[in-house]
Amino acid sequence: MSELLQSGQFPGASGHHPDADQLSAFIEQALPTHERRQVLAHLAICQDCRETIALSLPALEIQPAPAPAHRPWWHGWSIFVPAALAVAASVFFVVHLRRANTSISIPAQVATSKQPSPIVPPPRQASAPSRSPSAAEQQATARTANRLAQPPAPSALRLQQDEIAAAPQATPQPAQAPPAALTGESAQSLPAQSHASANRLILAAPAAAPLPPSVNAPAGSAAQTVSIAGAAPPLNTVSDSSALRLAQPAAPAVPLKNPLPSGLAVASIAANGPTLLAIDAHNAVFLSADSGEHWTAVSAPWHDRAVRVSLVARTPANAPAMGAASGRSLATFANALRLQPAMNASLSGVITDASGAVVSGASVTVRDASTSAGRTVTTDDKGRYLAEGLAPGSYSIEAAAPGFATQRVANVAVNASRQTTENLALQPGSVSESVTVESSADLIASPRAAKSKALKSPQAAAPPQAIFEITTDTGERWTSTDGAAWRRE
Amino acid sequence: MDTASSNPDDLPLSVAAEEPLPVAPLLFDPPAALLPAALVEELWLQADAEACNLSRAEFSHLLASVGAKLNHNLPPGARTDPSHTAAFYRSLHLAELALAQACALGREAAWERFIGQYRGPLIQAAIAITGSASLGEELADSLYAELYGLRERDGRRRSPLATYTGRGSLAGWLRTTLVQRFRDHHRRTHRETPLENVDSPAPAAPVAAETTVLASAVTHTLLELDPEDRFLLAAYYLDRQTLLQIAHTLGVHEATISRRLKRLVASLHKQLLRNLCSSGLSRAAAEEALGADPRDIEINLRVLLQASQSSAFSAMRAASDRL
Repeated sequence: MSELLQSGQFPGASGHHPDADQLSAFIEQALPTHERRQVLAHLAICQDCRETIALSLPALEIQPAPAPAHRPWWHGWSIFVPAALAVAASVFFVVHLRRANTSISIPAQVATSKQPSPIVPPPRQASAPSRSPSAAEQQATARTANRLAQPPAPSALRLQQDEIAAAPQATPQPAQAPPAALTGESAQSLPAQSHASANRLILAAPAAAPLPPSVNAPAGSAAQTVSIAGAAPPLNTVSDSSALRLAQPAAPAVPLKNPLPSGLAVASIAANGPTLLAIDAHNAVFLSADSGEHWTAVSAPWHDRAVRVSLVARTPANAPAMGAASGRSLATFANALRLQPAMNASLSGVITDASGAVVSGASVTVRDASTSAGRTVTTDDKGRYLAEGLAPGSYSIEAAAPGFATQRVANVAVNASRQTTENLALQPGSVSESVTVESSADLIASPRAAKSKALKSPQAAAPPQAIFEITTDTGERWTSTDGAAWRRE
Repeated sequence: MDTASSNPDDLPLSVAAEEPLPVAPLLFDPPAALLPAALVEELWLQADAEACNLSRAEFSHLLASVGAKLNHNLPPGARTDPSHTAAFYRSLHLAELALAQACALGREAAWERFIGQYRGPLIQAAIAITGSASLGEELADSLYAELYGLRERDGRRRSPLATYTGRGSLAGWLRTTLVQRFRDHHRRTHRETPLENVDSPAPAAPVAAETTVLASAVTHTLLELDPEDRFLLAAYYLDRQTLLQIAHTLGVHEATISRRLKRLVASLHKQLLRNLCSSGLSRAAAEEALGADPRDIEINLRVLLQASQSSAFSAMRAASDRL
């Protein structure tokens, strides 16, 4: 402000000045409101009193800096605390939701998977649903279905489960309708072609690690599973939970003869015969052509970090036919469910080998003799199996395990409202026997069995090519047949 | 110009060694009603008035006088109730009030206590205010003499300590009194005419019509301001006080002062535009007028900012003087 503007006559303050008592009380904020306003009004017009107050203030320059108060560690973060709590709650909810979805999906996987084997098998696949070029969801589901899950490390298995649970179309069931029981329902009541094809898919890849049926099946069948869940009666889920606990130890890890050159832990690994592809904890990719004897670093064409490697099968596309077929069978299946008798019978037993030792991880298929509909369950670590929610009738039991010949027992009478026990002893044999047996007939006899012939077309029956697929943290997928030359999907 | 001190012209700057005069028995006029005995007893014990040789009756009389003078911190004319009265007395600096009044009454025990507690801080504050050790000590000694009641009026010793009411701290009161005495001393010893009192030469050139309108609008706008806003503008733009000083004066953070000043200037600009438009200028002309050179405007902001609109303080003082 210009000095010239400040010049002029000081008019003087009319009336009295506040005395020292009032001014000191004003400085110490001890005046009542009305008196403070009066003093302020006087100060606005009296330069003398303003100067008096300015000089009466405690010397500002010699005032010690305020000592750091003993503030709590969260001081200053008060506005972030609710946000942090909200984020934590969201993360907890998402993780809980994903786990819940996984726990629902895994029993279904146990019910439909065949012969989990710790040995890396030759990739032979009789038929497989292919990707639908029209729908992204079906693409994702079909891609996952085509993946030949090599015996993964527990972390790799976890990733796959998470991915499956995160896919909306692959989260099938509400809580009151367990998926394992649903599969059994569909096996008895309806020739759900999609389930049959899913089973065949797994059979064609005998070494595949257990995968949920919603993943193995095409997108159409996944949608069908959701509808089935709503119509199915509530069933006991205890056996499903136990199946979940059993399924995870059945997935063996790929043994490494030598550690990775980086010396870090393996975050993800996949094997295609003797060729191993591994990702270490720092997202570096290493390739071994001799089952892990020697490792070479893979030059990464991707710009992101590789987080997961898996083995997938490249198959021709036939998913649209599958989805249409599954959709048409849905109404029939729902009608059939309503005609089902009360299914409260159960069948259980212990699978042992010739020496009497229990066989864990054995696949036990319980098939209704009248409808040929079957359900497959897996034995736990004590060799026990349990198939619940069965309709009363005559059943045949097939038990298969790696290294054993398939054992079959026919005409097992299952009565209503009681648990029937049937123990089986497996004899040593080869895996191929089991495959032959399972592929000889449809698990679910369907009046729409003709639809499943699409899977047996020459194009679908062509053996798929097992390729490596690497997923980056941004979701990019890169595939390679030999682990050296990569192509972005 | 009215000053904030009483009779500074004959203020001795050195303490004469003479015997104090007999003190007046009462410092304030007799109050209309005394306080309840229980409350007086509680406050008397709380103030440790016995150590100052202040009896219960004297203390009760003192409290009643302070309450009547300040109307128990209520607006003039408002009636108090017993609970508010008790809360008012409990909010006072009772120990310092008793000490000050006992000193004003000439109690030796109180003086010994006062010197022991406040002599060192008083000299330090005087040196800090004057910026000179010798002048500071001289100012502190003269204030001691005045506080001791070496002056008499109407045949009674008058000590400025008698005006202390206990609302603020006694140290703050002493500091403010020191500043007032220092300003009086400075005024006596520096007789220069301030620059602000020199009349500016009359403008030779005729004043443009827009400038006249602008001056009128500025005058009108400043006169409409709240007293506290005018205090802010005067303290910041006229007195050149820092934000920290103003913040300490008002008891808020300096960032608050900065924000309030910014808002105040913005609202002043808007109000000026509004007043200019209401005086007949178009919006563009008003904007152009605001861009005029301030030196072309014949107004005195100091006069405008310091124009008194309220006589409430004088009225309050007159009311208290009547008590």
